[in-house]
Amino acid sequence: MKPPEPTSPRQVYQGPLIFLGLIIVLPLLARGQYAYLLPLAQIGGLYAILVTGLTLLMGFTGQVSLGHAGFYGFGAYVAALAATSWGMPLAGAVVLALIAGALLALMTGFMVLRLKGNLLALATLCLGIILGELFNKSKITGGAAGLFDLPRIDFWGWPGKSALAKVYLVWAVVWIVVVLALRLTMSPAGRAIQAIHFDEEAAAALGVPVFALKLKIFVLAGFLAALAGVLYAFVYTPAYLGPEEFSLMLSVMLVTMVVLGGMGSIWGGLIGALVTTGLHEVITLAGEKIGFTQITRFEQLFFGALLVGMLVFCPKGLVPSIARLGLRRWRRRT
Amino acid sequence: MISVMSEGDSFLEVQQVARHFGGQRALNEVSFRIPDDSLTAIIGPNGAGKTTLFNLIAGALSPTRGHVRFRGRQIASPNQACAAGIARTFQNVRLFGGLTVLDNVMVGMGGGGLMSGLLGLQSAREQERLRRKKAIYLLDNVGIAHLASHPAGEIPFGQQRLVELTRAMATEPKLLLLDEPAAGLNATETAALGRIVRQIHQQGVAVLLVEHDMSLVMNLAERILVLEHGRLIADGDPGRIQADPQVRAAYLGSEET
Repeated sequence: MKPPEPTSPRQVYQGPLIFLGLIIVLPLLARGQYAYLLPLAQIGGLYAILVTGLTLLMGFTGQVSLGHAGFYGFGAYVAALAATSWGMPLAGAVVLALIAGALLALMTGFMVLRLKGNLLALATLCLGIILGELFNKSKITGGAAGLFDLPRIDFWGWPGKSALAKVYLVWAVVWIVVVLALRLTMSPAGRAIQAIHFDEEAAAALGVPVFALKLKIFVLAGFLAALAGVLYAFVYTPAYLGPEEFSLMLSVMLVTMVVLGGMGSIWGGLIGALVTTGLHEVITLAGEKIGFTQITRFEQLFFGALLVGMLVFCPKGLVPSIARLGLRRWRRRT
Repeated sequence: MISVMSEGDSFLEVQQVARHFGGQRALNEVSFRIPDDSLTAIIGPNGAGKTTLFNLIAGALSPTRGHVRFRGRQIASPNQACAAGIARTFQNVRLFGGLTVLDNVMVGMGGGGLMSGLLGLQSAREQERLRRKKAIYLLDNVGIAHLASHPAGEIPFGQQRLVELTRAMATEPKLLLLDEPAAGLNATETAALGRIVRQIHQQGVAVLLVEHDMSLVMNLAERILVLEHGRLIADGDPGRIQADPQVRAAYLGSEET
């Protein structure tokens, strides 16, 4: 009998190292006429952080969240308000926003995670709508006008106003988040959350603390969303924070990214985030060309159709399906 | 290896337990005790309340009346049941289909909070290595270690049953609940299963078995409880149960000749 070998250290470190190389090299290529891609890479990085949390929650633990943009916005607004209206120093505002994001997830998760399937989706959807309305209508958040004069994250002049440096800052955070998430998925806790996804009752009978673990992952996803929000407020935006980014549309887009990436893969989610961010840009341009007066409507149409199409024709996700196809061809050739 | 219980024969105590679903009585005033070294079978026609009784013992359901005590403690949830030393299998095999056979077994070994998972601590890695070794050993015991790296949902049904049994054993139970473990198995597989169950019992684990395969039950069990319409109608050794006219009328007579 030959027992299966655990994943070797080389396999474990290979992916993150290649990923780090790509993070360092690829932004350098975006020069001259391609420099417009740098801001896109920044927002793509924020979505990668959001999607990593959502992949852990949806893909691994099997708990749907349709209100994730709300947590993202919550992090951004708490950070922005703390740094402006409440007069906190930048570092304090960052820490407060991260804790607030995790706490909001803890409180809401405690209430909604007892629900299952469609009911959970509906509850998180409502949560996203409530938070969106709060950002849009509340006096505290500055309503539709938003908040101005936000401080910038700055380490002795870095990243300053350089779009390239901002890309590096955001993607350094993405790298850390991805590596930690990969570790989690390969740990006993990762095994337990997947067991919950497959069969809650059987997992509980084996001693897996089902509700506590679901709640912890929900809190982790909320924390990561707040982290993305902080970077949005203090790095990505030109010192201004408005409610338009944290729409229901973004929550749907985030779910599309997770599904596109194949639900159960951190790398897949990452690719899903990048592909969707790119698609979003193309769609906006295409929408203008076709003559859609309201771009948002066109986006909704497109991403709604994409999500339904994916679930019907490619339920295991685009990334795993393409990977399988590639593997089959490669095997045939060798 | 048989542990001596200070509680004597109150290892598992089911006392005047009733469970209703809406207006329907699935179990009614059922009482029995099981000592810590027993291999007991529960039989009865379909709908007699056998699985409901299992779910009550495993903490998946709570009784409408009466109580279930395991080693002197009341069991209120599946987590509590597992921590107290009760493990179970399900009537329809319920593996984590997309996980490997090895991972299925290792879920039963717990371990690792979220933080140690995130940080990948050295001590946690060492514990994980020991868990893996033990899981392979347990799978080898039932002859399926070669399937360890296969997705559990893709192996033959008979072997899935063995994975589920091994997964339950990975929690190091003191009482093992087997819900129709031979359902869907052929004669050879059933015979092998019988040997494995006996082996588990010899290791000092009490076994409570719900089963329709009468030859397996008569062959394995030291004691048989018979349920009919949610009531316990007989309790005794296989010889006595086979001779019991009430049991013959209710169950054996109608299904077995």
